[in-house]
Amino acid sequence: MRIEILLFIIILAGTLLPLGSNAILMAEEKHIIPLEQIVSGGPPPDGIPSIDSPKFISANDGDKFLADSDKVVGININGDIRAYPLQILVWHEIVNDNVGGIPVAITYCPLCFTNKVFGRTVNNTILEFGTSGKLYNSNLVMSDRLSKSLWSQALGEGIVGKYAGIKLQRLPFDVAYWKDWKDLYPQSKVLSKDTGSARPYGVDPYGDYYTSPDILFPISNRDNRLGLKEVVIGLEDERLYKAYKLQDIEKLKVINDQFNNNSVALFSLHPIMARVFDSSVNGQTLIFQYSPTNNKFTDKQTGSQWDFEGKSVEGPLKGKHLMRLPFDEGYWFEWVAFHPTTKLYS
Amino acid sequence: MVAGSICLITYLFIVIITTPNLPAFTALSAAIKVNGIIIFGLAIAIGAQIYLSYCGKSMECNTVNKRKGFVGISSSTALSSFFSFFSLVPLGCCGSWLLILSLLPSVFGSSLSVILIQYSKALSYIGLFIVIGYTSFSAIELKRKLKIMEIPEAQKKISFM
Repeated sequence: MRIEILLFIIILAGTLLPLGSNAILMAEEKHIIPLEQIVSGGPPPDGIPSIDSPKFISANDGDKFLADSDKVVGININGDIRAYPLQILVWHEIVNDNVGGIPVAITYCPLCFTNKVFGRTVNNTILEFGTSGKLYNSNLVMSDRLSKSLWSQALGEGIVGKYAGIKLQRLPFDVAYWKDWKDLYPQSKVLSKDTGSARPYGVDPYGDYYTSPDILFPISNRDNRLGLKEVVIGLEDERLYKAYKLQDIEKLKVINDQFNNNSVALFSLHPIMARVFDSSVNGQTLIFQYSPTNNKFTDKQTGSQWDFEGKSVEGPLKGKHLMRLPFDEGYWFEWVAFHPTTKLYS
Repeated sequence: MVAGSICLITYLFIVIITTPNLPAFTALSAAIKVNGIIIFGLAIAIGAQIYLSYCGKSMECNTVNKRKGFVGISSSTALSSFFSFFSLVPLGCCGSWLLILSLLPSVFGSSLSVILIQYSKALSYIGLFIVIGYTSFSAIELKRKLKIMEIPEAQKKISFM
């Protein structure tokens, strides 16, 4: 027991030693943001280990450690449906995975509540991401293990190194309560707690941070249009930005809007779960309304019925699909810190 | 006073080195906002305990078992501080305390680590109460012994008369 305590103290000291050297970034490296704004979070690179060989279990087995109210990040790529519990992601922040034949990175920054799924293929090269131990605007900075470039999770873009200025492909995903996700996709696989690292899964080290209205760190751009920790869905197109309050989408069930001259529809049928679609089909822009009788959406133009997957299940457009659009999700303070010129849907 | 200040400075120093992402002043004010009661409570209690020990010694009256007292107070202070540091995780994403917490299962096992993290706030207050309790006990003990010492002194005075 004494040896274990001694080891613990040595590891503790070892983790704190690199603090001084961590902030040193090579000024000659290509970068798109001021280097002094990238700060050390404390741990060394990969001190918070990503999950690189994820194992999965069935939804039934997932029930053994997940409560109905646990949140998961869910993805569905080419029919390969997987759920990544936030109670695991909070200790790892990045999962390098292959879903439906596509190399993807599932990322989570608990402080900003930014959940994002990226394609890992850049210029025909498959990258593997890890935590850099650094922060930009209080948000996770990832590093790829091939070129050691730094990537901002919130921007989804390389910020220092070979890939500076390169955008990662964003992929649509859901944040959902476990109960809703397993009801929608009982065939879903679930990330196993057998991650290769011993972590106290099931307890959130951030405590009451999510429910307290305050933040304890400075932010570069404060915007009082919404509360700091209001969860927003953010859209980005050609350096134009628009945010939607998640609560508004939940309340209205459907929002029809224009963004950068494109028609978009935002659907929500389950708490904390929203999806964004391009509302044009065959060159025709559709306006949707919610039908409480069958829990579906109806377009005003043809009267066709659409489900939450964006598929027409009834009417003249039966069988047609709306194109799902990727979006950013996170706290308002994070969205405006990175996108100060953002518009806000009201 | 000096002992309390040393305790306070040590705590705040640990806060600064474990939150390099924040300017020192911001880190300190955040720590005080989150753990003010623990930080100042421990500093005052430790200062008072050292003062009582000093008073007891100068009056040639040992209040409590020194070695046991020192070990008890030091352990409680260290544990109370350690658990209160867990509240500093929200000071930075991927921060030092997240890393330290993630190492707990290798020492205590997963189940106990979950309990320690879940009840860290309560545990830090329990530590503080132990330190305050011990200091209060020392104060009462000292007062009692001083009273006993006063009686023979008074008796001496009477016999001289």
